[in-house]
Amino acid sequence: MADTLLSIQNVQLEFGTEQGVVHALRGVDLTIHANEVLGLVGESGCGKTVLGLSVLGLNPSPPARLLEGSHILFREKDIAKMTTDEIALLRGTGISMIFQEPASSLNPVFTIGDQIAESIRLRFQRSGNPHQPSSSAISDQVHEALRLVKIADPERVARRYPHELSGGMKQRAMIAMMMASKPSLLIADEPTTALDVTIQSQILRLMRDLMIEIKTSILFITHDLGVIAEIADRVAVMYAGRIVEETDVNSLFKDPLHPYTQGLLASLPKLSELDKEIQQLPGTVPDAINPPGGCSFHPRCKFVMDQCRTKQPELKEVKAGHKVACYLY
Amino acid sequence: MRGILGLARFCVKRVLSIIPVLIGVTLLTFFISRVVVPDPARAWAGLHASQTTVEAIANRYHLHDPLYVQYFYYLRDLLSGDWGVSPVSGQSILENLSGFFPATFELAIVSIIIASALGIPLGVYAAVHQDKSVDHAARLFSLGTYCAPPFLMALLLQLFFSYWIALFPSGGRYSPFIPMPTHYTGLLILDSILSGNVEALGSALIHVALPALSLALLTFGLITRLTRSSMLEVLRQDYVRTARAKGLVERVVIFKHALRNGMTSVVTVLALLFAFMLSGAIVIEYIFNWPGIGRYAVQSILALDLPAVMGTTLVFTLVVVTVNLLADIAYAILDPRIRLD
Amino acid sequence: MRLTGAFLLRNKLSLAGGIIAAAYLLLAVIVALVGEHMLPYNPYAQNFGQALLPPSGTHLFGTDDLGRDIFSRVIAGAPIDAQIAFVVVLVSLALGGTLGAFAGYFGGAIEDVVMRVTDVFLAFPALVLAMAVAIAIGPGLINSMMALLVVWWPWYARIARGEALAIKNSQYMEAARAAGLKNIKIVTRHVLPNTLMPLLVYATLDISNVILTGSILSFIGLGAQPPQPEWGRMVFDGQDYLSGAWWMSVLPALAIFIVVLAFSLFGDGLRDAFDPKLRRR
Repeated sequence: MADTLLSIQNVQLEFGTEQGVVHALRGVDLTIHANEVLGLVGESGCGKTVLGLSVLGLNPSPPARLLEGSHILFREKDIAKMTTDEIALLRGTGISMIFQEPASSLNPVFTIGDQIAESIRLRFQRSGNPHQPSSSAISDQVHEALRLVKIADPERVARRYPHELSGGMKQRAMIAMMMASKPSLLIADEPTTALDVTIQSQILRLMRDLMIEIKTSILFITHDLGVIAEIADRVAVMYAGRIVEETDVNSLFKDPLHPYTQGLLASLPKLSELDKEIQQLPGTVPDAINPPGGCSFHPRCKFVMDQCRTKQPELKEVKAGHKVACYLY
Repeated sequence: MRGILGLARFCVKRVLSIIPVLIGVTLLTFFISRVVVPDPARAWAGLHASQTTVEAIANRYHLHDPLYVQYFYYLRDLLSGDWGVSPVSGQSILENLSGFFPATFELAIVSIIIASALGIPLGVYAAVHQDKSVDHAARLFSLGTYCAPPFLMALLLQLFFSYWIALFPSGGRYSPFIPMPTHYTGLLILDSILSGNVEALGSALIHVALPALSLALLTFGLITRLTRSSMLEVLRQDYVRTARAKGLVERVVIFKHALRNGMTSVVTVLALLFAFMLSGAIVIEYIFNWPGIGRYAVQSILALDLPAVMGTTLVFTLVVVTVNLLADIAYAILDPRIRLD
Repeated sequence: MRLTGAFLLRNKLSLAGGIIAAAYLLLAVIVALVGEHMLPYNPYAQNFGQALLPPSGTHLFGTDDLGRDIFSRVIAGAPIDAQIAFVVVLVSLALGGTLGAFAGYFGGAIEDVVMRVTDVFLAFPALVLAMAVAIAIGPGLINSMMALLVVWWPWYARIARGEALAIKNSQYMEAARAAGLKNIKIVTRHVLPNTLMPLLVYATLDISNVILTGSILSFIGLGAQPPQPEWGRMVFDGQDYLSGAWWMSVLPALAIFIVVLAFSLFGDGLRDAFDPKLRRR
């Protein structure tokens, strides 16, 4: 069994809004191991981004609240119990995050080089090294970081401002910036969604290569099953704030157990079945303020039974390395 | 290197674009002083001048010629530095204006420094602690100072700190008993520092205190409000979240990443504020008997000295246009995206 | 909407501002209609024996250097600034707004010309231009009103043009054009009414600005002339007596402050209420 890097246990998070309390995360259990890519897949609104932000304590804290009993264990410490300052120490060098829109996520008034240099300097500070690296040493490392993300002319790009780069380049620069501090875990929130399909594959391949080179695990959040197939080692399926299925990527596609996963896969158009109708999942994503009782999926499930309406099923391992939260098993 | 070129090109374009505005400004002042004024010749000659003098003035300014001819001479005179002679004081208007200008400039600079030193940190603080009681207090206070008429602040300060508690002089720029410091810039504070004259510095500072404070209080409210809303906008941005995600301390996130972006709008706002401040300076200089172009303007109005008033109008407007231009350039320096324009 | 403390406080202030503003307007209307008979003292009656008396039971705000009761003068002067402000704002809104709307909608040369012209007017600081015009046409209340009009119309032209541009490019307009409406009809029936709302909100906030600038104009001698009890003028008259009789200047100045603050608070609240994003800032 590979080392556990991050252990998310029973994480519950709610938001206070003007319409009422939004239950964004309703008991999430997830484990990420060293040297793996864990894909987290789900529709918009299921809470996957919120979960990613929660690991780093980036949800704006007056409206967002982590409930008692939530644990996020990283390097033997519980992030859920840390203060913002303590979490800040983990960010960058322990856990890093890249976001969906590189255009708005990079600071427009600083050059790419400046922004990457910040990460590098941070890594030096935290390594306890008493020597301040010289600016030329930092420059070199900036260029090295850019080369690592396959940017051809790092010296030139480092001098550029974000608005001068294309979408794909911006995302590479973001990855360079977040990897420069050599984190153990990278949370990637829909990093390729805003990019062209061709660039998408390049970035995905890049991320896999980096993962191996720098030995960083990746928590890859997306709604796109195709991307999951390309990059993930293991997959967790999320629905209405909970994990409903978790297994390795091959088993997920060959043998999906949860009715929701089956529905998701069935709704994917396949070239080999052009004559078949696309099957849609009936119903809509549940209301996060008033979720249905029992299993959140029961209003849309064709296998629904009585107990599904009253009590939420636990996430249990029903086959080797394959967990599912459903009364069918 | 590319950045600098882009910046230079931007500067040139902006400077060229204000030329039509400046021409328009002179057209408007010309129109007011020759067309709107019922009897321009008498306005220039003086209300009690003899008919011969009036005729001489009319000829001197080509007042019998068609308007476009008049405008040509008007513009020529302006550009060559002949802004006319005041019918009331008999002195060259331009000389008066340039003589009084440093005092207003000094007052404005000191006020902006005080107002920014108070307003910007308060605005940042209010934004970071949005909706808490400090924020509300700051917003109310800044609205209050913005709404107060300039003479209210000035008179209250004069009343409290000059008449009731004799801490500051009630007017003037400098004590008549202390010899002036050596003239380097015309800015007394600077000159005193440059000549190492502590006594002079003390006199200059104690005289500028109340007027600068009145002026600063007027504008400080606006600076706070605008810094606050600018920072609120910035703090919502994704790149602030990225900065946190990188592991930067909150202090760096706010003062390096957020503030730098918020500053761009604050700078433009400071320029707009300048115009607001100049209007306030007119009243405040008069109340504190501060020898600047504001006081000169009011005295000219009270004396119905039309040429002098038109001269001050031009100076005020030229200053405001220049300050706005500088602000645009500062904006381009601060925000590299603007240079593409 | 959740009734948080912040929401209530902000709206309470706005409401308070609105009430004071309304009270002021009511007072102004009453005084303008009924005249000075209802006042405790005749605002023009000089009485040297009673000069420079401090505020007391008999003279609420004290008396000035000519023995006139300041309280009566302040009340009597209330309609003056109100009238100027409303006339200036409404006429600027009407003329400037229409011009701007046309410029924005039709674009091309019209828009260019209007924009250049407003650029020039807006290059002048408001008070400075008002001063220049006022001294050219001579001191006096009506004249100061006209001077303020000259200064104020460009703001409305600008805003209206911006709104008209936004509307012109909106899909709502595409539908109207597709339906075959003639341009002039489009402008009068659709563009103008839609630009009106933001203009009105701006106008409410603007009233306080006009009152402020108008009172400064009177302070420097270009507006109301003595013995008219305009507040700005009263402040000027009392300056020489500041150390001995502060009530002459300070009280009218406070009156101006309260009225301007009231209109600003109310306008702020109005703007927040109409803000389409409804973000709490």
